Amino acid sequence: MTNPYAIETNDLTKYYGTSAAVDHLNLKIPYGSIYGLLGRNGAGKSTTIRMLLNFARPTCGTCSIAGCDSQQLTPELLTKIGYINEGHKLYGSMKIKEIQQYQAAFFPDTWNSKLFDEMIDFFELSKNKKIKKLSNGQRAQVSLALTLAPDPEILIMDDPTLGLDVVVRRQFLEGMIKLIQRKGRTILFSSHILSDVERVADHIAIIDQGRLRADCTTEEFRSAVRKLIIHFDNTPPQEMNIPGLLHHRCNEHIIEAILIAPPEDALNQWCKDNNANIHSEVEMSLEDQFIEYTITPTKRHLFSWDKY
Amino acid sequence: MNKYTAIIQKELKYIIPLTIITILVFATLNYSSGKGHFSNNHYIQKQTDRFITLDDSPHSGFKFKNNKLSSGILEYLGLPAIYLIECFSSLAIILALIQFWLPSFRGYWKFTLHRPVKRQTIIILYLATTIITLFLTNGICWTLLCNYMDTQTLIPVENYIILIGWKFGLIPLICYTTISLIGLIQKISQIAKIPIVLAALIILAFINQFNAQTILLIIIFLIMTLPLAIYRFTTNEY
Repeated sequence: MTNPYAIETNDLTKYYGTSAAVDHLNLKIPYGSIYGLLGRNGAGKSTTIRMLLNFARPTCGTCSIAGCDSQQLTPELLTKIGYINEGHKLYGSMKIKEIQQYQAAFFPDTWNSKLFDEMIDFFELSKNKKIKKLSNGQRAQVSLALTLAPDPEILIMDDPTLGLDVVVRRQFLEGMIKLIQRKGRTILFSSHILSDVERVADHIAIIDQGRLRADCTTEEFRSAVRKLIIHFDNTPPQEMNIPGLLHHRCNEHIIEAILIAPPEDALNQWCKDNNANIHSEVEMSLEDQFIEYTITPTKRHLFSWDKY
Repeated sequence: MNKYTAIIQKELKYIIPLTIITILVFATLNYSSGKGHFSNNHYIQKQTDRFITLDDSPHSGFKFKNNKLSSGILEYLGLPAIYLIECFSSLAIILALIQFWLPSFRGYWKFTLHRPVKRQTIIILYLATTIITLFLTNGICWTLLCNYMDTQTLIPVENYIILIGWKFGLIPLICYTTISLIGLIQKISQIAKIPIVLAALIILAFINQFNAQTILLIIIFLIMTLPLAIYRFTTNEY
């Protein structure tokens, strides 16, 4: 394999008018990895996925899947790329068995009818039911079965668990994990549900206002973003130049500091120089870390409900 | 079933029922409103004789009769021709809306497009399936109607009247390509109105001046709009 990356973007940029939806995004997703694409609403996750699958054209920069430019994806290559769209939009007028036959016609060599049937049975769906009669969660299950049955080598999903209840979400994730367990499969998925990402992804990429803010393993991110409660003997200094400081909240002699991978030695030295000591470290979930990491500077305090 | 027949089958699954409904409506309209027309084809015969010589007629063009606008077709071919155009143009518009507008509203373009087949192939199959169905059913309906009228009276229906009905099949095609193209122009701006205006003008010209020039105009319009629709479909963002 000459190209080690299943998915690659180079300075990928997309402008809508004068605003950048995606701004010089550089992502390199190796084969066999499970990448969680995180970001707030409007961060550029869906636009990135749309450009990867040639549903949108980049303003500048390039993106490729399996070494092939996204704008030149061939039918042969498309047989290897599974895609689950946001909202699981399928043909409402078709029955499950009809959409199965329709989908199977496009994958004569790779379609696994047994897998599809087993998944539909597992989800307790009747094949005679029309797609438009299915709930959002059931449609997601059909969508997953339709996407996994051709045995894709690369799976791209745009917020696949959005709007699903916990049980369906769990089933959906288990379906994903089954796919992951097959050797060499690559998954890129965007999500708002951080617990899902934590459960499945081995890498995360955080996009904020179209820019890549973080691209690392989930473990690295979990250990890098820390919230420390620092106690000062005197008044805290005006200029808070703590090593690795992202932002902080001050409360008289105590500050709550969000730090990114602070070097322990430098942090201890800073505390010593400023008559401070680390009171405690607050344990954060991935969701807490994500919020602290991506929150805009003007929104770092809570909305003042007391006034109303 | 291969991928091409899968696409055609998917399209025919709703085109056929809608076409059958259209044929039934066309037959019902003709039967309920025009027993006279069915049984008096000599009237149509007589009028079509005038109709085909319309180029030389001093009465060509729209005429006002009792202060009401009277079109060439209504004047010369009677209600069956109007019903034919109305029914199949309505069907054409509905099919264009289902094919190119509904996926945008319901958001399933991505499911349609993300499959191992070129976008050009998808749209060419969509357009070909619909155009062939529309044109054939329009012509067959008219031929059957003429045959029916032929059996009802002593005066035979001439072949050129049958041919006129087949030529009327071009009007639904204009409606279909126009609505399809507008559906594919994503930014509904002033430019999107151009095909509608052009199509309306051509249809009016066709009804008013049924001659070789207007047929040529229709063919030029179709030759212009079809590649444009294919181009928009393949280059659009979804």
